[in-house]
Order: sequence, then C-alpha cells, then structure tokens
Amino acid sequence: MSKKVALYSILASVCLVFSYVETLLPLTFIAPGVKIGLANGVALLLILKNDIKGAFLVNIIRILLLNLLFVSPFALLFSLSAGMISTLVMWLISKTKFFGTVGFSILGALTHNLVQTAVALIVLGKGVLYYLPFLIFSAIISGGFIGFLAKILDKKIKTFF
Amino acid sequence: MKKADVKLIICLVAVGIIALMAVLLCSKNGKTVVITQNNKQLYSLSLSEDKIIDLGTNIIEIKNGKVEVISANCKNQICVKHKKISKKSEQIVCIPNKVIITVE
Repeated sequence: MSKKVALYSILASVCLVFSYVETLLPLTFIAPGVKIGLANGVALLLILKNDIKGAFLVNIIRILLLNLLFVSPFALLFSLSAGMISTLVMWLISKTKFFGTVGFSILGALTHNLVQTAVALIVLGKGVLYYLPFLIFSAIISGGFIGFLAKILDKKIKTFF
Repeated sequence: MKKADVKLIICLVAVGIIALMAVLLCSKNGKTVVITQNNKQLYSLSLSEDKIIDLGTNIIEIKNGKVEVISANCKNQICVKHKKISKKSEQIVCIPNKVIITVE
C-alpha cells in the first residue's frame, strides 16, 4: 500500500513537471489548447501495466493540482472531463487487444480532443467547431508520438516494484 | 505497430482532411455585419451575437449567425422579402431608406 502511495505520488509529480514543460512549448498557434500530452504518457504506461485504478488516480491528482496551481478553475471543467473519459476509452480499447499501443494512444488523444471540443461547444458556442480538423490531426501526431514513447518505456520498465 | 493501428491512422487522416475541407467551405461565412444609412456607417456588429437593431426606418435582426430585415416602413418591402444573409459580401439593400447591410 505504502509502495503504491509512493509510486502514484512520484508519477503524479512527473506528470506535473511534464505539464509544466508543455507550457514552454506553445503549440496553441495550431488551435487553442493543443499540446503534446506528455502527461498522458504516464497514464498510458499505467494502463499498459494493467493498473487502471492507478491511471485514474494519477490523472485526477495531476489535473486537480495542475489547475489549482497554474490554470483557472474554469479550465478544470475541460481537463477533468476530457482526462477521465479519454483514460476510460484507452483502457477499454487496450482490453480488446485489437489496437496496438500507438492505436489506443491515438484514440485516447482523439477522445480527449473531442470531449474538450464538446465542452467548448456547450460553453462557447459553435465557433469552436472550426478547430475540429486541427484537433484531429494533432491527436494523430501527438497521440502517435506518446503511444510510441509509452511502448518503449513499457519494454524498459519490467515492473514498478 | 499493428495493422489495425495503421488502418486507424489512415482513416483518421482521411476524416481530418474531410473535416478540414468542410471547415474551409463553411468559413466563407462572414463574421461581422456592417449597417450603413445615407452612406454613413452606423453599426459594425458580430454575426454571432443575436441582436435586434431598430434604425427607425428598418428593423434588422441578427439571429443564429444570419441577418434579415424584419420590417421596413417603405412601400416595396424588397429588403423584408430578401432572404437571410450570412455569407461574406452578401448584401441587403433598402433603396428608399438608403440602408445597406453588408456581411464581411
């Protein structure tokens, strides 16, 4: 139990650092909110290790802390809904064994972007649909990249304990 | 990468391209409405904000990203019968009252 607490804390802090690093790489010229999703790689790794509970926990801790520290509570609405649903989708898809790591990483990223667009649609109106194609492309690229990284990490890290 | 992954990527790229084309086609929609009367610009308004403007001679309504004239005090009522406009450079003109509504 204490080992798990330590592991999740470390992973959550790694996520926080990743999220901070991402803010240094502004990709928002593509569409508002576009990022690489490095933190998502951690959730992905936990899913690959069959630890769905951990993936959810680390994601919730990361999103809550990140929004309290750096972003407005308004953004919490976006990131929490998208983070939870995309993690769930990635887990379900990884269960089917139909797609490889890259595949369900892309689908996770896509879900993330679609959920955020849906929330934005409700909050901001239909002008946000303009960004949808750019969000699809960014999901393919960043999701694919993160999936690729997670796959390497999964091979290198045999087990967490 | 599994075969399914490659197929997924190809499908998504295709969906993305289609969505991009759809967006580019739709983006010809105008953003602002410029209303002039007697060659003087009276209003420059956003198309996305629903609003009713009363010029005294004509009542103009912006709703759901479209503009139309809902009433006019002139005889011919051409501007009232004109369809709603929303695309770039479309115009509704009321000659008797010298009102020009342009989408930009």
